[in-house]
Amino acid sequence: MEQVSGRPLEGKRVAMLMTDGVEQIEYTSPRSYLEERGATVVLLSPKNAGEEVQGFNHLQPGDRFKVEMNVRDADPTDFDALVLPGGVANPDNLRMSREAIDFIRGFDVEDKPVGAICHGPWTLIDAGIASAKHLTSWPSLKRDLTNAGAEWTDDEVVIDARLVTSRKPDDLPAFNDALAKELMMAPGTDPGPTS
Amino acid sequence: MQQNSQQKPGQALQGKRVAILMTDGVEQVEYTGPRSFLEQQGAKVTLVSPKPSGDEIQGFNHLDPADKFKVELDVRDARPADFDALVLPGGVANPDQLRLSMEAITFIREFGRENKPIAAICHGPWTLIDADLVTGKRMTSWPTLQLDLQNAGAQWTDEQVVVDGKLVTSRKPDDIPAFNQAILSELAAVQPGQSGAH
Repeated sequence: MEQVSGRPLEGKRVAMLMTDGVEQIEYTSPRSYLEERGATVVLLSPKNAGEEVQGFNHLQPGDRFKVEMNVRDADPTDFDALVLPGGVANPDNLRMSREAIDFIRGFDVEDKPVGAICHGPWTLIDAGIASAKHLTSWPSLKRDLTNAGAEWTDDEVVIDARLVTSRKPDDLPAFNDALAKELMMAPGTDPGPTS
Repeated sequence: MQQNSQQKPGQALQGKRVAILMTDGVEQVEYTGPRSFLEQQGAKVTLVSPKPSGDEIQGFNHLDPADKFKVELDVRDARPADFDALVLPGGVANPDQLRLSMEAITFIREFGRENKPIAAICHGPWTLIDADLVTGKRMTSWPTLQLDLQNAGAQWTDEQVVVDGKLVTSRKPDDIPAFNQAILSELAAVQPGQSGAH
């Protein structure tokens, strides 16, 4: 495990949006990585705060995770970045939640970093973010993302503007590093060349 | 063709061969419902999968692992010419995996090319995108696929069963009775000796 020096993400707030069926390592790994570096991470869901989300290890039911905020009560302006884990049933369920899709779209509107891994990028289609973006995903989504106007490539991590995408759990180290870099550049902490 | 939804078990589909293509994650009632209906009507049904014959497929009731089903024919060894129709059950993880099987997609595409009935329910229609069979088609599915199907050129509509040419689609387990009847109509319309043409 890489040595963490300092807390470069101190003060940053990251939303993780997910529901039943989430590939649990794609939740737990980014969360602990970001928290170790000082970020505050909040589990958002279309389910109510206090309810549980059923995690999966591929097709095997795994652990349960307590929802910290209902996405209906969440505002993208309260967060510096959004992370969308995969697990095939998770984004499939999120696509039916108007509030979830609007929340995702809000991060694009505010030009804030969005990280999506594995099946996570599916919701980007519904949020209208995939079009004309260079991105990757679990390979089964390639056709849907391409048909939605994205340029899909088979890389461990793809960064286009503020959008960070990866293919699968093996890509998590590269995904996490890219997320942290985007967060450090996020408006609010980036002094910028002219300030 | 009689359109009686109370049609009794009979031999209307005697001699007809139906392939049901699926893998782990299948919504099991979308397999068992059509299978038992078609068999009651006299059809011979074969469970085809990218898994080898004799291997088991893990069925699901939504997110809960349920029964296992034995694969009867590896899709690599299956020829569309040996079947009169194809059924594609749903269960979100099932078509998601089939999309990554070149042999499964080719098998599906061949049914389209040979103009044989294809029936897909719930998440089942996803593979039709990869098989290039949805462009210009009027169809339905589980609602989460709506945008993907539209982006692929389909005309999506929210009905319990939609028939366009030889393509039969439905939305969810509740639609299975209408789905089964539509498959029956399509299959009964297939003339003996019509299948297997090159």
